[in-house]
Amino acid sequence: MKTLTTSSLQKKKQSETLSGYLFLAPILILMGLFVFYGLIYVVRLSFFKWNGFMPETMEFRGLKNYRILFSDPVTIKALINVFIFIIFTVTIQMFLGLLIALLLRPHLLGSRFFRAIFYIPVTLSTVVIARTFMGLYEPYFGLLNTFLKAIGQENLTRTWLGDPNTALWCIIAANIFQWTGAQMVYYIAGLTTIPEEIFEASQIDGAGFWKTLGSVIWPNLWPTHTTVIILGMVGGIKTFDIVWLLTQGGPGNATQFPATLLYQAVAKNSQAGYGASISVVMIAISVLLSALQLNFNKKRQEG
Amino acid sequence: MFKNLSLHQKIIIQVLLILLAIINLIPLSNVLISSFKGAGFGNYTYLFTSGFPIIRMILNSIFVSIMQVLLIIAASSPAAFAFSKLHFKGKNTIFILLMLTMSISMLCFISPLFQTMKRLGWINTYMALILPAATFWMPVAVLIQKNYFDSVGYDLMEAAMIEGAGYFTIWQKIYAPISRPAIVNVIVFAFINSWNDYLNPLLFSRTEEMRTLPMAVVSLTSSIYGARPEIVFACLVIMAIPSIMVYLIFQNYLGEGMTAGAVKG
Repeated sequence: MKTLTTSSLQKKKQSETLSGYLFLAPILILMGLFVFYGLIYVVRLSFFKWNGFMPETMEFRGLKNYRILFSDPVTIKALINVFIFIIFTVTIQMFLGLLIALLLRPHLLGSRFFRAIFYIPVTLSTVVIARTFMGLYEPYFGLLNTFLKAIGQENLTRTWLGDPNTALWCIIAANIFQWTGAQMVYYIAGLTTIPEEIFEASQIDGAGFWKTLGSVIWPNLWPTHTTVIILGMVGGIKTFDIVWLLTQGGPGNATQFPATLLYQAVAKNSQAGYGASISVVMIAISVLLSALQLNFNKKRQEG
Repeated sequence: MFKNLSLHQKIIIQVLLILLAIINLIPLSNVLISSFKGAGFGNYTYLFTSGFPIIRMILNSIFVSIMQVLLIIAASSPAAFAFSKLHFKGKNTIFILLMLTMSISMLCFISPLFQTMKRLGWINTYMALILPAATFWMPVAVLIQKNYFDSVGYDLMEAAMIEGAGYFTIWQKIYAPISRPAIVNVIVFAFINSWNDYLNPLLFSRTEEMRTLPMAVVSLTSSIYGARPEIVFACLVIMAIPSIMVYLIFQNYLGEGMTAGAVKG
């Protein structure tokens, strides 16, 4: 009797394992073909010199790609750009996202309508966002220069995207416009986790708005802040579309990002091996950030 | 601070919201207004009648987006069910692997993707426009649905097993149907993501007939139409309407997915 149950239990275990892998088969096949195979491929390719066309022309060169990568001033420029980009997009989006979420919280007239207005840019293609902002930055008819002329500040007008001093800031502004709605959603969700009694208690104490914000709301939102910051970093490392559509990394190398360097190396300059070394660095950073986020989520669930 | 607001405070909040909304709407209304400059609605009819393959590109976008959504649901729903409800060796390792690779940009795999597509003969085909981008979005879809399945519990499964149902039936007949709220999120955001995607067609579409709308805008700008920005703006408006509409129609059903877009964005 006893042996019978263990064998049937074992059978159940086996069928569960088999079913499990069958359920995962489609996604594992596709991820294997495009992601995991690609992972091994780029790591290997990063040790070679290759034009990307004929496999027989591949030439092993050890760590040379990485040495070139880290000694190239353009790489340093791209890293500085991505650093500035992350710092400014993340902090400004945090501020605006939290501000809008707070303003929407009392559910006054039309709060659903306003939420939709602020979220719409998130649903748009980066192509639409990029062209929209080109309509603002355009030197002759663009809204920005037209406005500056109208208020008599002609000396402030410039070719916004063609000026190395302003191009990066133009990209940052477009990106903030596109993604603030997403941060708003995080903060709306974050605010609902703060118990109403905390707000009421601080009111009874006579604490003003700013004091409540600083001493209660802000510290209680740290889980949200962490998520927003990590996702901002992940997004920064990946940023390609908006840069490629607005400036293609120019003028000069003023707006190079790791992703634009990678695309230029592989698609424009036929440096597949060198490009792979950029991929490997980007992948390492992305995985590290994901690990941080996973670890953080786990800690939060465990309390 | 949120209850018992005085009228004075309410007015300040309302005014601030209106101001922010106006600032937010200026760039987009500029596009809408510019698309009517000159010939008015004629800009739109010109876009459709001047020989530019816009209709083909719209159909491409619709087809590619629908196929991506179907593929994502088909592959991610059973996977999410297995991750949430079945116990087997290696499950956690695979799940962590999916979550760790989730945020890697598709661009990092440009060389291997290109080699794979070349070997399969898929460059400039629908396969190349559909499969890679859909696959890269699947982990997000798994995460959204797994979280939902986690909240459902085992009771239904145990009851069905006593009746003698197998795992496939349990997923197909019980768990997949009740996960409809999560599936709606996946459909909406996978559609928006696919409809808006610029990178996948940039890498794999080579001819005008295989372009989707985001690439249509780029080809318009670099062609003779580029001298007529109002035509490009009209194309942007056509492109923006479906994603905005899908969001507005489903906005009451959207929860978790609203932030998942940001993970991939």
